[in-house]
This record gives sequence, structure tokens and C-alpha cells, in this order.
Amino acid sequence: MDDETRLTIFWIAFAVVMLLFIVAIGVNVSIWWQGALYENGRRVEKRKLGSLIRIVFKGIFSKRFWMALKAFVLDAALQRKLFKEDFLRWLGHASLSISFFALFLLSAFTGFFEEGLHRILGVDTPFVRTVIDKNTPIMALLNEALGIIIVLGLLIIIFRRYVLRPKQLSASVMDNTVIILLLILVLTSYPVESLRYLRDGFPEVGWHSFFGYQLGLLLEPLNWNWRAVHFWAFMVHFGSAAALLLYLPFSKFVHVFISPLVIAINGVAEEAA
Amino acid sequence: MVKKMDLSVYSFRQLMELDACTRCGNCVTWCPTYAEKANDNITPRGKIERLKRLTRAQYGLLARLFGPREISEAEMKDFSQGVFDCTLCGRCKVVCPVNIDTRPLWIAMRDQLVDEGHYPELLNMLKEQVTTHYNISGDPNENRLIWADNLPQPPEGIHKKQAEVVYFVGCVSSFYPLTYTVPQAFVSIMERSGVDFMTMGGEEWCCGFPMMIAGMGENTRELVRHNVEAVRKTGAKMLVATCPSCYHTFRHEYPHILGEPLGFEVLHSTEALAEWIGEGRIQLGAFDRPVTYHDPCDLGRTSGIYDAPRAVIGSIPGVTFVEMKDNREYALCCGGGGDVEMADSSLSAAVAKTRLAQVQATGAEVLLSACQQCKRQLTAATRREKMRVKVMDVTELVESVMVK
Repeated sequence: MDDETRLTIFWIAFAVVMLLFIVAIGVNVSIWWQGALYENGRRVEKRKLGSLIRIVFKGIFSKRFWMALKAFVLDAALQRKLFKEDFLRWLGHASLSISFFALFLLSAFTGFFEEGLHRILGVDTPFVRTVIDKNTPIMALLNEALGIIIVLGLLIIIFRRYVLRPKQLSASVMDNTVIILLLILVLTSYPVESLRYLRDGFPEVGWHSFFGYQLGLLLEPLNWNWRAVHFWAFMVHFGSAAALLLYLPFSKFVHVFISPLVIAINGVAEEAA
Repeated sequence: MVKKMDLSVYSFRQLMELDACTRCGNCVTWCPTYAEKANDNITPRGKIERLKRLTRAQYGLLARLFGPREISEAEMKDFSQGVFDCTLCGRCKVVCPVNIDTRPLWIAMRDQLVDEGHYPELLNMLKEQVTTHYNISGDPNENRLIWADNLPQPPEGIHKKQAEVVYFVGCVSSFYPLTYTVPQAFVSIMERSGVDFMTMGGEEWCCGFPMMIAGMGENTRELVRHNVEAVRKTGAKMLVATCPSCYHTFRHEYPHILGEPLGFEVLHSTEALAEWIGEGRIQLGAFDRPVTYHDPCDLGRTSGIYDAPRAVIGSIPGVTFVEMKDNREYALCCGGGGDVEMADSSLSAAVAKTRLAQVQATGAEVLLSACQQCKRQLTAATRREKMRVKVMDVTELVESVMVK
């Protein structure tokens, strides 16, 4: 299979997963839509969508936006309630969520720089080249370090959930599934990185990619068809991400998207009161 | 044809909140009723989980593809039991890491269950009494001032028709003898400190709070309109309530229900007392017994008043004040809230017993509160447990040490 076909397979799979994800989230939103909407203290009976848009825009262009932002930063991003209550729990949650989000942003930026700026618009400055080249020290270090923090967070969560077992935690199939998918996702990321080195060749300085680089050197003597192995390893990595994404709207993991919104909205209500 | 649940009793935001729950279980460790009755239906997490399951069965992806599933009687009974065994204390909101506004969500669940006919039968009696007698006890409403009958010299204000301040006594203090001492003390304080006050007697109707929290809020509009009109007619500038639930309803619910400002100020008695003490209208003598204070849920967590009662207690010379382990926004419920007594009276008593253990740990001889329902509930519990602690309302203590 040539590179072009592999890339096509990936993009088709990606498009299907995203479409299903959007449909599933849409079903959730349609359930919320059954609820009553209030504008200026009055229940909206007709033209709910128009009212919702008005409410959102009024919120954005008022001082309530800053209240929401404050609640978002302190309670959603930094999770101050958890910090005050249980440091270990906070550390696990923050390591996982903040690093996951940072890695997501990094990937989004890299994709934008590579596909948008570099390939389509032809921008080729040293900065753009630094961002799109996964082998540059800063990009290699950022990717690798954020991944390690995610692993650390996940290990703390597993330790708390299955070893410390706080009384109030109930480990359901849903929780276990999400943890297993996250583990597969994170643990396959390093071999994928090593296989990329084996496929494309090792950079001159590799210590920034401290784990993937060393693993690659360790695997090198096997002398396999690294192009094919990398593709299939990547597909397993992508498969776990896809499974997580598709499972997300039906599991408690949907809170990743909804909780920050609720925290911000209720934060405004609390401050206003 | 499958009958679908009507989700419009919930707000858009409340249905979002169901998806925001992380099932972390923080609420479980703080839930006062779950601590006494280890049934997952009762926990905030359990209630959210159940409602989510019901909504998914009728509106989720599978329901969209293959049609909604009928909700069985057993499922609704299960859901209803958890929802009505809640004291609505709101402690779950305080500890929720994602800030779910739990109390209004539990009330919306009750609204839904009442609409669908799954609620404790005793609530029908409550509805009947409130809508026909205008009070929760079912006594003739013109007997609202019966608590004043055995006052040696009833203050003049009790029967006034116009005054600066309207004292809204509330159903519990008006009709339950164990709490008559609360209005008796409060009118005595007002008279002695020269406050121009009046009561409304039979013109005072139930504020509607017990119905609102029972999920029968639809039936309270008449009560709301009547009460506001009755106060407006007196020309009073201020309404003071010794009952935190009446206070909360007047102050926070009425303007929302009417869609307009009330036209008079609403204060809780502890706020008024703190103000009058600050102005020097009330002079207090010494009190040398150790006291502790129980934050009523509807005054503290629901209305945000924690400092006024503590300021009043702190202004009594010589008082030794000891906080309980769970205080302010973390205060444990007395068990008397949420109409739980009607759903499960033994559960309500068990919660009170746990609170008394916290009182005992402080070494206090006097347990103060600022709610007649907490007083009634905790007094009954001290009697059952044969505990040597005197339960008093803050107004009663102030009246007993007042020198001017």
C-alpha cells in the first residue's frame, strides 16, 4: 500500500468518526432542547433558537462574560475545589485534563501550520518550519513531555480508583472502558513515534524525544517493514482515539465538554446572585 | 403508543447539567439522607443517573432509531423514592466540583413526578390544606394568632392594621405549639425596642414554599398574589420573617413568579436583629452558657445568610460560642426539610440524631437556630435521645437577655 492510499484511508476513517461523533453529540443537544429556555426571567415559548442565540451574544458582550471566564479558569481549568479538597485527586485530574487539552491544541496548531500555512499558502518561514517539523527539539520535547504528564495523571487516577478505592467511587463498566481506551491511546503514542523515526530516519539530536527515540533505537535491529508497521501502529492509535470519541457522547466522559460550560454558566449565576 | 416524558419542566441548563455530572461521588459523601439510608436512589449522583437513563430511553440515539421505550412503573417508583427522600439541603451543590445547581434540579424532578402521578400520597393532603385552608396544618386560618393568646400582655402591634414593618409569622410558628415561643419572643423584642410592627392574622396565607418544594408550585400563584397584595395594602416598607423558608420565598421566589418587584424590603429576623442591635435599639445582658449555632439550610445555603445570626450571638456579652464540625455552607441538615417527614419520618429523625451528635461534640448547653422548623425537629430529637441540650431560636435567646 502506498503512502497516498494510506493517507486516504486515514482521512476517510477520520471523516466517518467525526460525522458519527457530531450526530451523537447532536442527539444529546436535542435532549437539552426539550427543556425550557428563559430569557429575561420569562419562559420562551416560541423561536427558542433565536432566543438562545440572543442570550449567548448578550452574555458574550456583557460583564457576565468575564464572570464566566473567571469561573472557567478557576473552576473548570484549574479545578480549585478539587485542589482544596484532595491534592492527589487534583493532581491526577489536572495532569490528565490540562495536558490532554494542551496536546490537542498543539496538534491542532501543527495541523493548521502544516496544511494551511505551509502547504496551501506556501508560507515557509523558520518558525513555520520549526512547528511543522516533529523532529525540532522544542516540538519533540513538548509532545513527549505532555504525553508523560498524561500517563502520570492516568496512573494516579488508576491508583486512586483501583488501589485506594474511595468509598464514594463506583467503578462501572463505563468508567473502566474509558480508562482502558485512554491507556491504549497514550501507550500506543510512544511506539508510533519510535516507528516514525524508524520509517523516516533518526534525527541528529534525539534526546528531546527521550522515550520515543530510545525505543526506536531499541527496535531498529528488527529491521521490519517500518513503513507498514508504522501505518498499522498509527491506525491502532487512531482506532483507540476514534473509539474514545465515539463512546464519549454516551458515557460520563461527555463531561469533558459539558462540565466547563456548566461551570461557566452557573458561575455567572452565582456571582450575579 | 408510548407515552413520552415531558422534559419541559426542566430548563435547558438543567438537562445540560445531567451530562456535566462526572459521577465522582463527592455528593454521596456529603448527602445527609444517604448517610442514614444507604440507598443509591437517594444520592444526588443516583438521581441524576436515573433521570439520565429515563431521558435516554425516550429521547436518546436508540430511541430515535428504534422508537422510545416505555418507562415501567417500577422505574418511576425507584426514581420517585430517591427524589422525595431528599431534604433539599443543597449540600451537594457546595461540594460538586462541576458546580451543578442541584436544589432547583431536585425540585424540577419533583415537578415532573407530580405531573406524572408518582409522589407520596401525603402530599395530596398538604395540597388540600394549603389550597383550601391557606396553611399547612389544616386549621382555620383565622386562628393564625393563637400563639399570642397566652402572652401575659399581647403587644399592641399584633392587631395593628398599618405599620412600618409586617411580621410574617409562617405556618409552623402559627400552628405548632412547640414553636409558639419564636413569634412570642420576636413580637416582644419588637415592642420593647420600639419597632412599629404589625401581623396579618388570617390575612397571612401560606407562602407557598412547602408546595413549591413538593413539586406543586403550579398551585401557588394565588397564594403569592394574595400575600403580596395583603402586605402592599398595609403600606409597610419592610417584611420580616422568622421562618427562613418564608423569607427565601418572599425574597427570591416571589419577584420571579410575579415578574415585578415586591415594593417592600424583605428581611430575615436575624438580619433585622443585627441591624437593631447595631443601631442601639436593643441592649443585651450577659449570657454565660456555651452555645452553638445550627445553620438552617434555607437561610444559609439557599439564601446565603451566615453572618447575621453569628453577629447577633456574638453581640451578647459573655457568650461562649462554639462552631459545630459542619458549619456554614457545609452545615448538616436537621432532617426537617424537603417535606421528607411526609415521605419517611424515620429518615428525617435519623438525620436529626446525627446533627445532635455534632452538637454534643461541641460541649454546648444551648443549641441555637434561626428557624422554627429546625427548632421543632431538633427539640423532638433531643427528647427522643434524652439529651440535655436546650434548643432555642436566636430570637428567643435575644429576648431572654434583652435589657432594653
